Amino acid sequence: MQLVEKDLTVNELAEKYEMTLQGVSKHLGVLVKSGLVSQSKEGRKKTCRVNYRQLDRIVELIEKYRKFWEARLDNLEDYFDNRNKGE
Amino acid sequence: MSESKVVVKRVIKASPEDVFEAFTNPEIMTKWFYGMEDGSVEVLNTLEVGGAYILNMISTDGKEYRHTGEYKVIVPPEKLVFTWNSDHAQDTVVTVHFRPAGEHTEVTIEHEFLTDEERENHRRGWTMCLGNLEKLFV
Repeated sequence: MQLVEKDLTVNELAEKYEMTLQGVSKHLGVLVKSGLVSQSKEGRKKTCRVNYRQLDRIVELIEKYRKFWEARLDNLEDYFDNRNKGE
Repeated sequence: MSESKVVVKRVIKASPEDVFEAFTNPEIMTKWFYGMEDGSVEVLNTLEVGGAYILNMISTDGKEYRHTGEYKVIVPPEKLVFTWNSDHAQDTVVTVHFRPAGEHTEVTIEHEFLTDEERENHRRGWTMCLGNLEKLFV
């Protein structure tokens, strides 16, 4: 992905990949919709950049909820341990 | 994006029927489903497909953390699927499997953070990225 190295315009991307502007726009549309790439417009120039925030959001959630569910299962284990002892 | 979910597993010393009940009976849930140490939880639920639940986790300093969702699949004592909404995660899905492990139960919790649409968009996005990467090395 050329965009990982630096922000590029749609024209620059089309040149790099030897694609038509229409082709690049179509592919970019999918990436923008997924939140992986964002676009900004300055005059007639449209710049594309990788949206690391979207990836970071998921990585953060995964870490947070791994701890959350592990802690819940610790509690559940304790609950049954205590119940089994009481029997 | 296969890494868009959390999977945790644990063998619990109880039958699948008992563990399934611990996940679905509000009275038992209040005894273990709380968050912070010495915190507590209030549970309300309608255990039927399409039925809602509310988990109101309360920390020792009185802060409330509300979690809500809807039951999608209920197959006692094997499987439970519900949506999960909190301050941090909206429209996420939790799947719990209860599998017999000798006299005990292996519990697997999968928490998926992408909606179906997001997942499909990510899949297409990543497929395209890989396609582009391939082209670079032709």
